[in-house]
Amino acid sequence: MSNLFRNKIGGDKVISVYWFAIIVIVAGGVIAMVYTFYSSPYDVRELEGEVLANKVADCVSFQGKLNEELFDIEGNFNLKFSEDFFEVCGLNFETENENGWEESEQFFVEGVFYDLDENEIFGFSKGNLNLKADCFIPDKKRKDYEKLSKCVEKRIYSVGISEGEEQYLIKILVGVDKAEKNVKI
Amino acid sequence: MNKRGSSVLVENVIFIILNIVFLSILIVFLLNQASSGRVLEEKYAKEISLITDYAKPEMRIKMDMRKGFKIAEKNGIDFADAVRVDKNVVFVKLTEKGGYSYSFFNDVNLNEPYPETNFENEYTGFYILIISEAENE
Repeated sequence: MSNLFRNKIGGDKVISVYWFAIIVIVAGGVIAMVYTFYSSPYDVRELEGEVLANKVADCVSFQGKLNEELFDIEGNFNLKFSEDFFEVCGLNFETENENGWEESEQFFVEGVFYDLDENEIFGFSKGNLNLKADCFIPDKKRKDYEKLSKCVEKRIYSVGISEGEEQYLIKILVGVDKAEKNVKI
Repeated sequence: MNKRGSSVLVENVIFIILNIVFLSILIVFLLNQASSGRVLEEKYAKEISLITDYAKPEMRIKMDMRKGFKIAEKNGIDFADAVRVDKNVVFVKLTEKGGYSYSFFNDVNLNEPYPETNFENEYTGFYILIISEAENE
C-alpha cells in the first residue's frame, strides 16, 4: 500500500513535467505566432488604392458628368490632360525618401474612356507605369505575390459635356507599390 | 501520513503557482506586443495618412491616440512632438529611438497637427488634424 502511494506521487511528478513541457511548447508557439504577426507591417495598400481610385473617379466624373478639364476648347478630348492631372485632380505622388522611393514613383493611375460599344476613345496615365504589369499577374498563390503592387480597378459610367451628351464607360486602374512598408521583406 | 499529505499539498500549490506565473508572463507578452511603441507608431502614421487621403479641405479631425500618449509619456517624449508633418509625409514618434513615416497622396495641407488639451492644460490623448487647401507653388 505504501509503495503504491509512493509510485502515485512519482507518477504525478512525471505528469507535471510533461505538463510543463506541453505548456512551454504551446507558449513557444503562441509567442512565435504573435511575434511574426506584429513584426509584419500592416498592409494598407489596398485601402490606399481604393481611396485613390475613388478620388480619380470623382475627378474625371462628378455627379455623372465628365470633368470639363478633360476637353479642349473645341470640345474634343484634351490630350494634355495627363500633364495637368495632378493639379486638376488634387493629387501628389511624392513619397518619403526611404527605400529608394525617391527614384521610382510608388503609384500608378490609368483611365481609359470607352463608348458604349466598348471602343477605346481616350486615355490617360500617370505615375510609375512599370507597376501596371503587376496588376495582370493571376497567380495569387505565388510565394512573392504579396510583394507585388496592389491594384484596384473601378468602372464608372458618365455623360459628356456637349449637347448630345454622349455616354462613356470609364475604366480606372490604380496600382500602389510601397511594398517595403507594407509587407515583410 | 500527515507529513506526506502536507508535501502533496505544497507540491500542488507550487504547481498551480508556476502555471499562473507562466500564463501571466504569456499574457503580459501578448499585451506588450499589441501595444508596443513600434507597432503603434506604424498604426498611427498609416491611420493619419489614410484619413488625410479621404479628407477634404476645411475638415477638422480629432484622433484618439490615448494608447500612444501613455507610451510617449513613459518614454519621455513630449506628446506635442509625437506627430509631425513634412509636406505630404506624416512622421509619428513615440519612442526615443523609434519613429515611423508614411506619405499621403491627397494634395492638401496637414500642417501642424496638435494635441488636444483640457482646461488644466493637460494632454487628453487626442490629436487634432486640420485639413486645408494646398498652397499652390
